[in-house]
Amino acid sequence: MIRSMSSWIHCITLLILLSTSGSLWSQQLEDHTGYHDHSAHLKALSNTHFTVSDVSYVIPNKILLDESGKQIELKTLLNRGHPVALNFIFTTCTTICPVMTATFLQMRKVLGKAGANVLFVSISIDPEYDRPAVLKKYATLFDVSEGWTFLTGEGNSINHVLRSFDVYAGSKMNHQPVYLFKKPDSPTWIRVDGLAGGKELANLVMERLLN
Amino acid sequence: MIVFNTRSRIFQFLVLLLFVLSLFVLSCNESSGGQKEIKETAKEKLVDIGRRIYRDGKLPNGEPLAAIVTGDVAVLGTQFSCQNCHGRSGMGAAEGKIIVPAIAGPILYAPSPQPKRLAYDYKSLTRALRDGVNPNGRPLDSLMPRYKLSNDEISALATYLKGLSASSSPGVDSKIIRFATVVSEAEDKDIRDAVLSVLRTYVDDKNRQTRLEGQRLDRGTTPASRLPTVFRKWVLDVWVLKGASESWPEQLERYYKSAPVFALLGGIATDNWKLIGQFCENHEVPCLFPSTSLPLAEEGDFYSLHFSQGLLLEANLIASHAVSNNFKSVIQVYCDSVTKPVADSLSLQLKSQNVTVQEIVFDCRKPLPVKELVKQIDSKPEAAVILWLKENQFSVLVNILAENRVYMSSTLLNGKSNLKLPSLPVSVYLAHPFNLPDKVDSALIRFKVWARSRKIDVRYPRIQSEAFFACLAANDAVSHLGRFLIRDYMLDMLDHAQPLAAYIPIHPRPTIGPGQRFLTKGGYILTTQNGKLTTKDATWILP
Repeated sequence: MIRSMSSWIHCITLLILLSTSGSLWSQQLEDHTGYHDHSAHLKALSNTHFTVSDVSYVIPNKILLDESGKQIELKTLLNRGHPVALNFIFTTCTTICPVMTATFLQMRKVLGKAGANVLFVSISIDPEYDRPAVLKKYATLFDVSEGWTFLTGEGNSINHVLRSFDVYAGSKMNHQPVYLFKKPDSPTWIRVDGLAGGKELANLVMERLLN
Repeated sequence: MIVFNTRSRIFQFLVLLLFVLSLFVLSCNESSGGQKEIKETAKEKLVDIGRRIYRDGKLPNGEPLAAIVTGDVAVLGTQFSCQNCHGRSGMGAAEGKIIVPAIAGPILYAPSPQPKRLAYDYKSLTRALRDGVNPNGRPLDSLMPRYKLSNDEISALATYLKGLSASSSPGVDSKIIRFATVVSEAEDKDIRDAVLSVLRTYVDDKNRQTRLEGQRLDRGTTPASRLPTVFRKWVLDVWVLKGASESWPEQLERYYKSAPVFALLGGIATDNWKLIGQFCENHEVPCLFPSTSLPLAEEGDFYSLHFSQGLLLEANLIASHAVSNNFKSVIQVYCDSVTKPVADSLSLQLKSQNVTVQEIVFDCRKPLPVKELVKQIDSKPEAAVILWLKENQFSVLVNILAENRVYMSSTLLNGKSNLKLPSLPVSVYLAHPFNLPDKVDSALIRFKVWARSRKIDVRYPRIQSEAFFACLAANDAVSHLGRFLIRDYMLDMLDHAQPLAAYIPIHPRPTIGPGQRFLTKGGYILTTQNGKLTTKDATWILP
């Protein structure tokens, strides 16, 4: 008897729920029948925080490996007479690395032709896992074309490089978002600490590197 | 006219009433078999779509999700899935300064006290995913992508999240957490006993130390102290696998059915872990750090963590070394089904580098065909010779081999028993993916101290210390899980436990990272000098 009572109560509740959720549902459909333009929203909410500073580093004379397994002299690569955009990533990173890679891509897109001769370099901070083949796969995932070099190498060399650019964090799980930019033939790097947007980086590069 | 109108309204009302009543009746009958089934399959389908979105970042049509992060950066779901940041378990993570919140059902759909947030529902989840606003109207971090998702896709994801990490994994109840260790009967009894003594002592110790902690919580009067206790007694089952390996899967199923376990700890099956690894994938059971020389995991396997790829890593080391030493042809000698996959992998790699590979295969149970071997080896004085042989097989060849072109496996020569380098009177290259014997192995020393104070006889330091680390890693991960005793969460925790790497014995330069299932990625090639192996010129190779 009690059981049948409770099942009736259950039914009535369901009935009420049904009638109310029906109207809610149609409201949602009205709200989202198409994609709204959220650009205003995004602008208000993007709240990227970053700082820009000028620093000078001594580029270490280390030999690293690129994504096709070729030996690359870092000093020569970074002094090839191109403007350089540099960051530090690892392929199994779960938070900031895919964003940092995508941000460089977006920046390149925004720069368009103006940024055609910017050399992009991403150095892995997990060299034991990120062997050339792994980096190649990562580059393919992001559909990276010409003009972008992914580097790995011997653990000690990588650590040396990280210290030289003041980005060594002890453990890869502790690593911070940093973007570095350099004019050709200039020892000074423009350092961006924090996750800037693609357009923000593009503006900076236009202003400081490509003028 | 007016009368007619009223009548029509009454009529409309009656029709509506009838409709509502029929709905009412339908909903009351929902427990009838057929309808329930249809509902269940529809829900399963929804969960499948949601899972795909969550894990792979792919929409039902196979296209990747599209999203915007940090203001204007376009990303695809395949580069950046929900799982990438929030973990397979949805329990969140922390990296650097960034904290990724937990979004598993029980947490997402409940109010959060710290940081304060209302419970999510369908509507607020939609807003979070599309516009990056939480239920309190606060903006989410710019790192959280703003996704382009249809209503149906959001429903699927919402349904998937509801079930994600919503109940404890098998092998756990309110009092215990059950583990098992798998040992193959093909291993020496002495070795099995040595490993089991470590595992049993660790579990026993752990239970003694924590036995009162469960009672501690029940005494409080605050709501928090009335939460179900997080402390569980550890139970360790021993699953002995008997007979031919073909029958192992069935034996494993039987063990699992009689008492499901939360995870497998350590274990020993030197020659073949493949079938046990498959069992772990099938039942989604974490398999932590077994002692084996052949893990043979498939790409994309999630549930087994290994110290290294074992013999396959040695094959990779030899391939790298032989190619960089300009060997253009190679003779490979092996004798059984254990070394076959290793030899196959090596010859595939060498052939891709335009090295010709000749193979000499013989029956392990019969004596080594020395004459034929010598003839073949002598006929190719320029070729490197790779011997996948154990110590007893190798000794016959000792005096015949030419210098500086023979590669051998440290694992096969050494067996499981000791850490000393074998004595090799001729000059060979030895693939050695282990710590160098003359270097201090602090993790091994730590284990020995632990073992000594517990009266454990350390007869097989390598595998005993491996078993010890398996326990240590499990304990570390479980202690981070709190009330959420979820297997996937355990593996997510281990993925981020980079500091644990410092406690790994025997295996050099291990690194831990999300999705990384073999912790030691490289190894050494050792050479002999004056009839003795030396570590002086040991070069670290990352294949």
